[in-house]
Amino acid sequence: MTPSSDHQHADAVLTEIVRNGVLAVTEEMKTNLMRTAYNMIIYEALDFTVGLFTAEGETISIGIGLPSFIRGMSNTIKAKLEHYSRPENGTIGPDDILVTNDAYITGSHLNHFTFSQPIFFEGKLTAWACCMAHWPDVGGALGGVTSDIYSEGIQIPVMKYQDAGRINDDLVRIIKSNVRLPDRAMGDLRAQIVAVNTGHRRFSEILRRYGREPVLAAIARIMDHSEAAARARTRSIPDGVYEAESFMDDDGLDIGNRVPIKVRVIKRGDEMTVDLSEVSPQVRGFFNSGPSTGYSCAQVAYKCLTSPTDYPINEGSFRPLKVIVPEGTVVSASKPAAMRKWMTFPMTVVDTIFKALADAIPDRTIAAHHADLVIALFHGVSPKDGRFFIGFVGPSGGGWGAKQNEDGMSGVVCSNDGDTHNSPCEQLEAKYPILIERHALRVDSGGAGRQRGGLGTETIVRARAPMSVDVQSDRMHCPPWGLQGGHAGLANEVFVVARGKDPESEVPRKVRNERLMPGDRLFLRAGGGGGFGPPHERDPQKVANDVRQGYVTRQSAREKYRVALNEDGSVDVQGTEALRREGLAAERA
Amino acid sequence: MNASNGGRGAGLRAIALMAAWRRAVSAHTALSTGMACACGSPFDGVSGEALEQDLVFYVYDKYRGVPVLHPLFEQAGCLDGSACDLATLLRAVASAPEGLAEVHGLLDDLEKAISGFGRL
Repeated sequence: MTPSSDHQHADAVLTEIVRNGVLAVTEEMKTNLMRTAYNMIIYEALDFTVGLFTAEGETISIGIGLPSFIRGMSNTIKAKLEHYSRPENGTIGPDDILVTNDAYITGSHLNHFTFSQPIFFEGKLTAWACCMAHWPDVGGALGGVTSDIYSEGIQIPVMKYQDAGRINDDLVRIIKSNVRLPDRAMGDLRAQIVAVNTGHRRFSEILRRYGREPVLAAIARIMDHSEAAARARTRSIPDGVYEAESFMDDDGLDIGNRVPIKVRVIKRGDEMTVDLSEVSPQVRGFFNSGPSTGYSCAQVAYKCLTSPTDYPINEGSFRPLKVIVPEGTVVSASKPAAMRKWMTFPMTVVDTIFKALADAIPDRTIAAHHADLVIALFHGVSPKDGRFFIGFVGPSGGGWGAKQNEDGMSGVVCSNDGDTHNSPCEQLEAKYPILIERHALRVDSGGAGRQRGGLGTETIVRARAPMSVDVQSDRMHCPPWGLQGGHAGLANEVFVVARGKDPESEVPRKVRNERLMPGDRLFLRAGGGGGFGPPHERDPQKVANDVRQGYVTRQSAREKYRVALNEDGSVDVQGTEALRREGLAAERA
Repeated sequence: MNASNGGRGAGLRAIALMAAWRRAVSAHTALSTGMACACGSPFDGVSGEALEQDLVFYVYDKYRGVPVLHPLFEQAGCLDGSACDLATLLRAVASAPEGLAEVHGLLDDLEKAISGFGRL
């Protein structure tokens, strides 16, 4: 199949100008949002997405903060268009700004307020500027695991924040009445309006300068290019039906009740279908996400597999992809499923799609990663100044999976979290009554393989005053798997050890608001990445280097990699050959 | 009685502090501390109840060795390893004999912690 549009004759120079122009617009939207937002979760943690969309809601360019947001805004604009297509709901006009935080439309949780501004040019709806950003508080219950959407905060259906230039004061008052810190919420709201105004202004400038039809033709051509590139890469994947399965620990309420994640990928010609029908039904706890996130999982994986460096991220890249996500799964939940921790499970869905395709395209897939924030929240009253403190340790860097041609990255935050920063130990110790006893790579945590999985980290936090701690980590019982004979990495581990007790006797678990006394310790261990290829095929010199660096123990070098080392750490060549011969013979036997 | 209590009795101060705590915790989410966790609700694990426990544990830990306050903690059920709530403790404080400097010291600490709550 070839690109179907009739925009092959769009001017090539203008196409490149528009390609870079829309990238610049979304970058400026992003910058202005970050500079004006009130909350650090937006301007430091980059918990937002901005973008430009066609009149129909197809993605032209998104300036992405977190990968899982790849789909939410497009679907939100389409939902808004659908709403206003019904005469009884009115129409969309040039000076309108639409809003919603409907979790089942955005796919995530109520914290994601999404503002969309239509861009009219010469009287016609030509495009949309859109901004989705995380408000730290949207009301709802504090503490505990929620089990329905109503306890998670205010719900704003699709409606107008601004109607023909006039702000909907009733809506603003309703929002202010339903959040705990209205000044902050309004600060972030205004920042989002700044972002969509920026998109509106800059894209209008492009339209004025080059004309509506030429610009739209150039956008269509960019999408066709992206589609062609994605189809070509898809075509190179062998046809077939590929399946894989993994699981999550539990849903936060039914502790220990595993949640299956099963995916099927069907590849035919230059098209791919990702079928998520057999992903677990939605759960009772707050780990659900909406259908947009099911689509996001498939799109993130597909983009990585076919056109990871093709910019801007646009709809054309996804035309060869079909996604089957029936309503009611844990990544396509329906009302009133709880959604507050929507982001945890999708990371594992993405890794499972890679796993399914590992045999078909080993050169393009990646073994599994730790797939969790591994972040601890702690709070108490400091004996130093008698004041409350609330702080975080994490997110913890874990190991990423190895690829066919390289080791996995060590100590990197999980895939959902993009470029999120953690907090320096020194800053944490200065601000809070804690001592970071250890922050180090976990030896032997990377799955053994021809290419080794990345190493996770271990952080040991000692309480210096009474305090409470809460950690809702997952993937402690489904370790990051290896591919093509590579071993699994060590799983995430979280536990509390009372003063004087032995950490090795503790069982990893979710920690729900537990009390720490001075001297008690919290262990946060982020898992390592899975390995790629059989460990005995790893270059012995690399294994020796891993031992020298403290990444791998001598024991693992011998038992997993079958590498014998001399006293000085150099490779014992004959000993290694013998070990590997013995190993192969044992395998054959 | 010291300057910080404005000349009010311990009972009145205790009642005022309870009201101040209720106001503070109803507005609380500690949002200004900000981030750390992209996209999650970083404060999912925090409840007003949990923070109240922090407050009670703090004063208990600091004053449990003070003999004249021990009966108050005992009356409120605040013993080692057991949970008691702020209202019960303040009720016990309100019924304590007037003029105990240690009681006002405890109230001073509660006041300081609660007044700083909004700046988290």
